[in-house]
Amino acid sequence: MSVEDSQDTAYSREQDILVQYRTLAGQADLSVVAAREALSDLTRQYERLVDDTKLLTSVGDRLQRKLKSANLMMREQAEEIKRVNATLQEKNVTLQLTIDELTRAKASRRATALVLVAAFVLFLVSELLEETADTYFASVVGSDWGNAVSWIFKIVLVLLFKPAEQLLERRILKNNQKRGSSDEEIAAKRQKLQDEQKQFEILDPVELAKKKRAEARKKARDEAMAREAVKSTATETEV
Amino acid sequence: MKSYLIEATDDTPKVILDPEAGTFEFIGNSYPENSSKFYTPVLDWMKEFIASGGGKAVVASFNFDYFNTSSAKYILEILRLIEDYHKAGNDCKIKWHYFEEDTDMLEAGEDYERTIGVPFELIERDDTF
Repeated sequence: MSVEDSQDTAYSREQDILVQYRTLAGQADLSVVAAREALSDLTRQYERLVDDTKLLTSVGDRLQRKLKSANLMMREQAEEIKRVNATLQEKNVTLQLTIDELTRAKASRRATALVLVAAFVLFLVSELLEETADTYFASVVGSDWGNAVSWIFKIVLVLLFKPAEQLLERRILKNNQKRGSSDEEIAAKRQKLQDEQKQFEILDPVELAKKKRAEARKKARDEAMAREAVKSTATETEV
Repeated sequence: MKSYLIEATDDTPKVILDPEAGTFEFIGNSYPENSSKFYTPVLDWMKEFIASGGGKAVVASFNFDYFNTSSAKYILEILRLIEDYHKAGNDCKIKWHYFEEDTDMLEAGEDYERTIGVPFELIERDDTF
């Protein structure tokens, strides 16, 4: 049953009255008394129809207003959700940056600790081997320079602390990334998260209605085209 | 005569028509895709009740959250049937329920009250429905 049929059924009583009096009006031999009676009854029916129309207009207007305010409320809520979503995304980025910085700081601390341990070990080794090294260098470059070579060696070691620490830090960060996720993986995860968020994004009710209408139009067009295609295939087969 | 019961859906109300108790209840939303298909059996049942159950007192309760314009027309038809039954000398009462904040529903009830010549009671709803 179409919407028009549905409307017809809703107004079937009014339509019956219309048919009844149209038939009566078409009667050539209608007496004055019968016509007066019919007119009186028709006036009563008309009065009722006017009352009904007034009521339905009033109710309809009110319902429309209610729907409009509900739409407005939904739109406001959608805006609010969008705002909250944007704030959340900003916070998410800040959180990610903080996590990155924290990871770097951790790696730096670990690298410093390792370099200090290495320095301590080297210091102990150099203390143990100092005499042997001094004797060896004295025999090679002369007794005056034996101590100097040992000192140069120690200074070089001290100067290498910082680059060694940086190298170690980089190495630790790389290892962490390998253990965890690579930058590409993180970016992919982030993209997936954003796509999921988009799926749940509440659309503006008006936009949603437009989208639905467009989809319905497209569906109707596709169906019509499909029907047309079937028809033309059938015609070709007949030919 | 058998009772008539339809469970509510998202867009149609729950309908309970009890001939023994003489109660008609409509609860929920009413914006069916095809109002005629939904309300014609209800109207037919009521016409049959009126034709067969003369003398029985009737209480009709309307607890709508929302209804569309074509439903408004059918509600009017239902009320007109009750009005005719009332005019025939039977005891009838209409109970129109609304939420405190829903002034539109209250005013719709007042509109029906003005149009229909049946004792009308406008009742503020709590959340028991």
